[in-house]
Amino acid sequence: MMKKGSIQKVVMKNGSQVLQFDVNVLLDEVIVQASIPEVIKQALSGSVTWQQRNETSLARFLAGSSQFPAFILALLVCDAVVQLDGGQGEMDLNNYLLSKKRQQAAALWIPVEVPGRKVAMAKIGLTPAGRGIVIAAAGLLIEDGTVNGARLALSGVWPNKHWLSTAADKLVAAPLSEDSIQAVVQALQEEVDPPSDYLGSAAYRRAMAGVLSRQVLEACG
Amino acid sequence: MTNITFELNGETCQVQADGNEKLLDFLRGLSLTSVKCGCREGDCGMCTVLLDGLPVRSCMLTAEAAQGHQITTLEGLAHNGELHPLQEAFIETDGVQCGFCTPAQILSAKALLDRNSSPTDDEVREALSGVLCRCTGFVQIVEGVQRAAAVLRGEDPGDVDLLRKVLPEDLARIDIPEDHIRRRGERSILKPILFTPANTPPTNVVGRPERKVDGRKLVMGKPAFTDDFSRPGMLYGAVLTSPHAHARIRKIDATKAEALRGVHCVLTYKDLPRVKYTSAGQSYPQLTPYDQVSLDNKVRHVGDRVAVVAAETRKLAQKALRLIDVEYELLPAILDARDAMKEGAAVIHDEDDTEAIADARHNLVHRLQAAVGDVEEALQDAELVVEGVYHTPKQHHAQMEHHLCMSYWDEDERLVVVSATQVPFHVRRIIAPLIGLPVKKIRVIKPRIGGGFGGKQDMLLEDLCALLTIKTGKPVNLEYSRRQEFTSGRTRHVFDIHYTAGVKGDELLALDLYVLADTGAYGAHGLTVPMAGGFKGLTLYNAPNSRFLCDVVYTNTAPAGAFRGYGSMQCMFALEVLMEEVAEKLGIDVVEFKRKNLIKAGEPMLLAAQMGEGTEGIPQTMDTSGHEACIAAGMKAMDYEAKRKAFRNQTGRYRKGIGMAAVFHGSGLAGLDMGACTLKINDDGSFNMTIGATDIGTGSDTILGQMAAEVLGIPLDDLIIYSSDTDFTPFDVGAYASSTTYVSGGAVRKAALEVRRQVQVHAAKMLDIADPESLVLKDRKVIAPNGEYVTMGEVALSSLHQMDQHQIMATASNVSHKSPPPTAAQFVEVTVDMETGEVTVDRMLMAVDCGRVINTRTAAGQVTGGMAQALGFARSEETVHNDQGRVLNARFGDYHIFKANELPVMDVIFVETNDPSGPFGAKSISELTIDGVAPALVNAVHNAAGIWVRELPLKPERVWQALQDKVG
Ligand code: FES
Ligand code: FES
Repeated sequence: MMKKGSIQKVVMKNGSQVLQFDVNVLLDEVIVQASIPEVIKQALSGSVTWQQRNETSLARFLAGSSQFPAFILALLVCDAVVQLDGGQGEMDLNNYLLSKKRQQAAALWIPVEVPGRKVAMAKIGLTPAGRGIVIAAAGLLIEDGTVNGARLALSGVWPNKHWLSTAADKLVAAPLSEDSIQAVVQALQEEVDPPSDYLGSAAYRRAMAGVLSRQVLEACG
Repeated sequence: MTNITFELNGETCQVQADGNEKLLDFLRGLSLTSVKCGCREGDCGMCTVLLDGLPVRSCMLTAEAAQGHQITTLEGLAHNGELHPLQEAFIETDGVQCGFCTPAQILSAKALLDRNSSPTDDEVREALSGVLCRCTGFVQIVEGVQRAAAVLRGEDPGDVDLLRKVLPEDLARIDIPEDHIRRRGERSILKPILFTPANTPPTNVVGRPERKVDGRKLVMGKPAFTDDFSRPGMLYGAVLTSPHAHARIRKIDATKAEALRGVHCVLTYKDLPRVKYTSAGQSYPQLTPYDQVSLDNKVRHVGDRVAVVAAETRKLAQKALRLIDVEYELLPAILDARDAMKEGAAVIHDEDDTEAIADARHNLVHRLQAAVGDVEEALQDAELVVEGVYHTPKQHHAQMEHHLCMSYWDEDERLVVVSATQVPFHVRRIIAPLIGLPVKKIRVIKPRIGGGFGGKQDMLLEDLCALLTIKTGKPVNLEYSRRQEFTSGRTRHVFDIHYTAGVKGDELLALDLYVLADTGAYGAHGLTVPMAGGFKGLTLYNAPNSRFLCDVVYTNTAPAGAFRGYGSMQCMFALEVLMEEVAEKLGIDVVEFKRKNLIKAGEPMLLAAQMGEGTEGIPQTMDTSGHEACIAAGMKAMDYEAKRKAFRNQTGRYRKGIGMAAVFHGSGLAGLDMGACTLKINDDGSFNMTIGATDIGTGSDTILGQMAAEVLGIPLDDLIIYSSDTDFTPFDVGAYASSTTYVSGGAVRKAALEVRRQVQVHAAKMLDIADPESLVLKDRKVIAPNGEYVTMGEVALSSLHQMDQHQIMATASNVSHKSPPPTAAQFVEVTVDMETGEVTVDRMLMAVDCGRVINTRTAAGQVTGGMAQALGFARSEETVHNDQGRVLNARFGDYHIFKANELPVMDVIFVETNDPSGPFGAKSISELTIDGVAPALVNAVHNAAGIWVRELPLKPERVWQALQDKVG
């Protein structure tokens, strides 16, 4: 049992480090952790204000998360895990957010140092710190030159709650290369189903999904 | 009700409260007026307080959230009258314009400095990003925070004056300090530079960075704004607005709402006589059609007024609105100006009691025409003819304080209206027939205003509020919600602009301008905005053959109104891009082309006699122009030539560009605007100064005070300034048309000169001096040539109590038959992402000639604030509606104005000229500052990426599309 509002660092067997946040922790307490990945800091600043971070606990975020799309993407590509309340085990964040009736969460685990993992995020907004029209984030686990895990998450390109692209699977078990990235981008542009609104048409969002995904995948290389 | 115990500003507080009440209302209910409301939906940050030392939005928390915690509001910062260093610094740097956002900015900054005593500018901006500001552009706010941080660290923060330099006769020798060129893209805030011609007479108060006269109360969060005042038994009003763009009200039934306990009054069109008016706060007689009535049986846009209620609480008033049954007969709506005049289009004003619509059947409100020379012949004669079609967006004012007012009967049974208005005297005149009272029975008071920018130049709520008071006999407070601001307030006119330029050699022979102007559902400013735009859009280059044609049409969208820039901004955008296109086609340097063709000092403004605002104009000459010096100074500070060359032929994803625009504006409306001032001496040699001019955050009370203080030889502190109360101050048209410094300032100077004369006469008697005019007023003394003197206080006591007793006082009014244009050069530097279309603005610099700068701080704030608003217009802001006319982005979260952490580096240079008709040589400044960003930005994007984007705003997709089209 974590103490209310506590933050603990745990070192896993494979050498990676995980920060465990009790769900009563405020978003502002997450961002000030020295070891928190840059991509999460990026997601919680700019378009997210200090006031929002001070008012929002992780519990509140997990209960109704649509307000912070960049934070969701950042957590997804960092492989964040939700620890369920009442000793009911853990759940991958993506599955947790997609579950019809979300169970009470007790803690959020954010891997902060994982050997071989690279993460990156990019967005296009109406203004520099405006909510993203399209946001893309990638997290790759590259070991001995081979991609052993890949997550590509996007917002603004699907009509409903949906973040992870299956196109990223194409990267696994091979070295990251211009060709493999191109294959992902191509598949992704078919996979997305963007809405159209005054911020950006479906065509634009589709194109941006490709541009930004390429950008974040290259940044992980 | 629950018991809530918490620590409020260091004191334990135990109160009974409805735990579900918003913390915002709970705190305001405890008379903590510094906690402001700008939206109630978490978007603006005005309601920020500190909870256990950290900023939170009090509108997003309930009162219960305070339980067991420490709450700090701005009221808790000053101790025993001594201001916190942040409060002090905000006054010194003029981080306070209207002051509405100030409490939230200061509290956020305090929380930051408590955590980090030496933040970078970027960290300050990030910490402030949750609090919007529509006035300042944040430069002086960030400066204020850094200044306070230095004080708190025990360091000397230095002075707040700008860098003063002499303007050389040879402009090639203009001296820009190396750090102001920012060669390595430095982002730190730099002092503005002021270039003054060598022969400028010295002054003591004018031209100084004087502290704002009302700065102290604003940084302390004292009650100053309309919503900070209430009356016993006050009711709360709410307006029911139309969900439909165009409909007739078939049936309206308020019985259920009226039956609700606590509801005192419901008014619909059935309850009111049909009195026609126009909401435009302009001088009598307003020349636009009187096409509105207070409540009508037809609605013409989503957000149009349908009914109004007064109830004992805000909540109850809202509930009552939901109980009003309205049956609408939907009519086809016109949402695009290009459809308005089509044969068979719906007729928006089909009522038979509106006069003066040019062609109601075709929704044509006005057709405007003016011309000099022979444009057709000149275009025939031209070696090059270039056409350009441009479109500007429906920008929203987005001032932080809503439209609101409060009305009540005073003890003499006169109706008092306290209103956040830019035009109190016009409001009094306009509402009189609507509420059935003579002007003499109405008093309008303008308290502090939380930003206007033209949006509060219309009478939007005061008639309904007054009617509710008249019907109920009770005080009533009535406001628009933030969403209603977007749907029921006013916007900038959408312009479709078609220019044709004819050039021979490098000389502009002809300029032909057609504008299709969208006035929305009502025509309030439909005559004057396009006229102002057309005049300036042709006179900047003053081609010998110029022609203006404009169709002003109704649409079923929110009415357009007055908005800083007033038509000129739209036309300047198109014109300055067109000139760039022309120069490119000619293959000549664009700056040289503009320099050659811009109107020069001494030249007559060819269309001035034909194009007044709504009336015939007055012949005028351009007496002064700072264009040459502004362009020279700006080019040097931007390293323009070197960059312009370097940025051609770039490759790669990110490309840089730099652009320039020359702009000018006016100073009031020639022969129309009038301001007045009264000055009277007090026992101690201080003076009361009453003015009708309305300070809407620009600092006009301060600069007008500086003018009087300069003439009277006293410090600004010896003036007690009271502005805008129709009972107690002399008339003024109000704050619009960039008139205050020039027109009202002229009145202040005249009144002060007359008072000075009276002081001299009395002092001469006291000193036994024959020639009163030989006496000099300086340092609170009246000094004879022989060095003898009497103090101003002694003159006051003598004249009031002892010798030749009389009140030293004077009232003067001022009308000018000129409107001298301030001039400027705007520069913008950008980076274009060729793959996404995202345009990042790296730097904006404006070199400004506003005549003599009266207050260097407030003037600099006008420039940075204007550029920030202009950047919104150019880059992102647009009210968007769906095909039913419903606004899709009717909240700050979706509309999105630039925040502290998004704005680029902004630099200001002043180049002084000495206007012969302006007080102390001053011209206007406020509106000029908004005119140049859009064209300079589009020109910079062209320099970077080789594309012309002729439609604003430059949303990423629009730029991306242009890039795709270029590639083909
Ligand atoms: S009033 Fe609270 S955020 Fe606007
Ligand atoms: S000073 Fe910030 S909104 Fe007016």
